[in-house]
Amino acid sequence: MLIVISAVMAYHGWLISASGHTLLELQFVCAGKGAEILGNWSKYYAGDRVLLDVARLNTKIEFLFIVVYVLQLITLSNALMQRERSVFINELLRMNLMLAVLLGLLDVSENIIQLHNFHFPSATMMYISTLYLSIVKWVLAAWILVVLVTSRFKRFF
Amino acid sequence: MMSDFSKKEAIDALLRNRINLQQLVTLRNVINEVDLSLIIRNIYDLGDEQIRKIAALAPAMAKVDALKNSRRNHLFYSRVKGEFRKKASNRVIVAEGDSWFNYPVLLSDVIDWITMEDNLAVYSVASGGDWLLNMLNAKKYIEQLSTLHPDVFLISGGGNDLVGSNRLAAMVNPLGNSDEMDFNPWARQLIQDSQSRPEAPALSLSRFNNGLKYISKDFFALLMFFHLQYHFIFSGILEGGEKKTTPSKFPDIKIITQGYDYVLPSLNKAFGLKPWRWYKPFARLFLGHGGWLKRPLELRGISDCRVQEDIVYAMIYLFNEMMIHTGAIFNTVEQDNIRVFHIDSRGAIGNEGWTDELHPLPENFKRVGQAYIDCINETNPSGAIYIVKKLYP
Repeated sequence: MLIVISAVMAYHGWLISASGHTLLELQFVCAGKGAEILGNWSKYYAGDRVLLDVARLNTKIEFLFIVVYVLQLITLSNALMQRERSVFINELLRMNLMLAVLLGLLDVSENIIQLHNFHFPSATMMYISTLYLSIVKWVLAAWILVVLVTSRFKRFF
Repeated sequence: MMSDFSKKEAIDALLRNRINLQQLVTLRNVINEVDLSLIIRNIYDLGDEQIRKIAALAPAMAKVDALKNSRRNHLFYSRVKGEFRKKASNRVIVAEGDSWFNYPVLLSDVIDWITMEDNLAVYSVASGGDWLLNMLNAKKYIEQLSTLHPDVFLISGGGNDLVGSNRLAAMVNPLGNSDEMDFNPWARQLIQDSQSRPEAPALSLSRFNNGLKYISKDFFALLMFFHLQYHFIFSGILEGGEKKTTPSKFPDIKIITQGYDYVLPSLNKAFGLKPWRWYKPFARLFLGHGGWLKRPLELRGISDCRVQEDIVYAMIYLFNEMMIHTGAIFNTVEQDNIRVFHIDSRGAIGNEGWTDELHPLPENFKRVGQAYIDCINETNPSGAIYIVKKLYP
């Protein structure tokens, strides 16, 4: 399911990238730039839909993506935890269980804010930047992946 | 052979904690599953339906336990195929037990640490929350013993028979004037035997005696019930059961038991500043902490923390000595051939070493697991008893 959802979202991302801006970029911009990008997307078409509608649909699909990837991270962390002899890494993998849920909550929050922003393209005053939230989210995601990779491949280090 | 009347008399005396040594010894050789069920029903004043309901695991927990066992047993099958049994250092193991053997998701329990050893293939039928009586009735372990013919059988049970659903409340005398130990020559013998073993964990007499004052006859009846149950299980595996003339199907099997450590009654949620210990307050908030020990004692009016801890101290000390004594019965004939081993965790975990009231932190589960691993692999030989605190400080 992760693969299917990822493929759909990748397609949407490809459509949107034709505008010169990406959904990933939108996560890290300030209010002014974000409103400008959304204003841009409200004018450009992909087929019979404006890019803003594609972005909105993509964001809604991402809620399902979040559930799937959080469960995958929890499952993977748990599986590695039950094979990890180092108490230190065992505890880090256990912490991953909590961090994966936190990551999902941050991603959900980011999506809710973006859906709000999509209602007000070009309106800088109404735009809420997700910059700091996204930074924390990606740092968490990176940490989780580092712990997983360390546990899985540490015998090769 | 004991007449039916005498068996009834012995069971009645057991339930009143007035059984003598000879009666107990004779009873354990003739007891059957029906008798054991009758005893536990009378200890807790439960009907058959209540026993079935209480012993049945909550559906969600049963599913989670089954999922963990399924993954473990998948690993078992992938490990044990091919030439695994031909290598002398490899061991096939069947594990039956409670949450020390199967703790869902959050913790790495004893069996998790054992399973990490490449030379040990563990088939698990353990379920967190399971009663010893349930294990006996369900006979899941018997089916696996017969099918797999393992080298080692691990069993961990009795804790849930004592705690949970406020059952501990039935085991105490809030007046603090109990002298039930004086009427139990078998329990007194357990303590004498422990004092004669130089390697036995130090017994704090002040704590033990203080705890005893609050322990009712029902605990001693339960302790003897555990003794009879374990003896029944071991006899069935090692001696062919009631028909002792039948050679055992498992002549070389090794059995390993454990008796928990001094658990701590508590309602403390353990919030702290260490994010990697997030699971401590999580487990304490959502997974029953306080309901096993602290609340049942308080329900009976025992609210002094020191008294609560001493009560549990005395119970766990006696439980471990009961396990050692029961196992020793099967080791006495040929001292060089130890059949039943005991992992003695008393004093090993410490006050700060618990996730919640009943379950150690993962690193302490690992220490207990290491004792099992050394016992199974016969490294670090320690006779029939592996003392975790001494071997893995």
